[in-house]
Amino acid sequence: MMIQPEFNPQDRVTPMTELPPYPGTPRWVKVFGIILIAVIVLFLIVLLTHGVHRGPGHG
Amino acid sequence: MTPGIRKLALTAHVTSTLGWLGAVVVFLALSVIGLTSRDAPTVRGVYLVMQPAAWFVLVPFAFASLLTGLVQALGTNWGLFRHYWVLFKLLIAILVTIILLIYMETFRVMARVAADPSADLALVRNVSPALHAVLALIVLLVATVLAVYKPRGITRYGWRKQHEQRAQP
Repeated sequence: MMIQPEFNPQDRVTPMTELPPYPGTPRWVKVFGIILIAVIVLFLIVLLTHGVHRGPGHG
Repeated sequence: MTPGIRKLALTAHVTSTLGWLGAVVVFLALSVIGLTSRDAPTVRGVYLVMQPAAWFVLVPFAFASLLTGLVQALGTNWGLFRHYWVLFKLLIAILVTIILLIYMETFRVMARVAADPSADLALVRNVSPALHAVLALIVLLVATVLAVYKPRGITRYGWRKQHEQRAQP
């Protein structure tokens, strides 16, 4: 007598439609992201502390 | 997009971006002349010409580069949010364009000071355009390097889209 395995819907595998795991964010993206955020923050600090124009003869 | 239109869009994008880069180099040269020239009319002329030149060259090239870049990304398989290098180029173009538009007010003030004959030459000279031109040049060169080398790296959205396209019969 053959024993039929119990059917479990969670055991169903659909390899053609299942999304493979994301390979992750490359290191250069993280470095670039940090630099870009730092530049934006620096720009906002300069804008808020000095305003749009510092006046002639200044940097 | 058909291959012909794609090439036309790419030509427009490369031309506008390199035009923008070239214009920034010219502004750097003007800034150096403004800071170093001993001829008073030349110094005043440099700061007077910067404002209209920026409106007629820098701003149109910046918007043309941004617009053609969007067309290039959305009209091809590269997409706008699929690859990190495309995303970074977009962020760089938006950031530099915003800074340029804000800086137009500085150009206006510098031109007003330069137009005042009673203003001392030391007041007319300003290191700010040179500083901004150098920073803009660095950032635009980074964008050019990204466009040429196209470093690997796909976003989560791009990963999902890529798989969806492969799964389609």
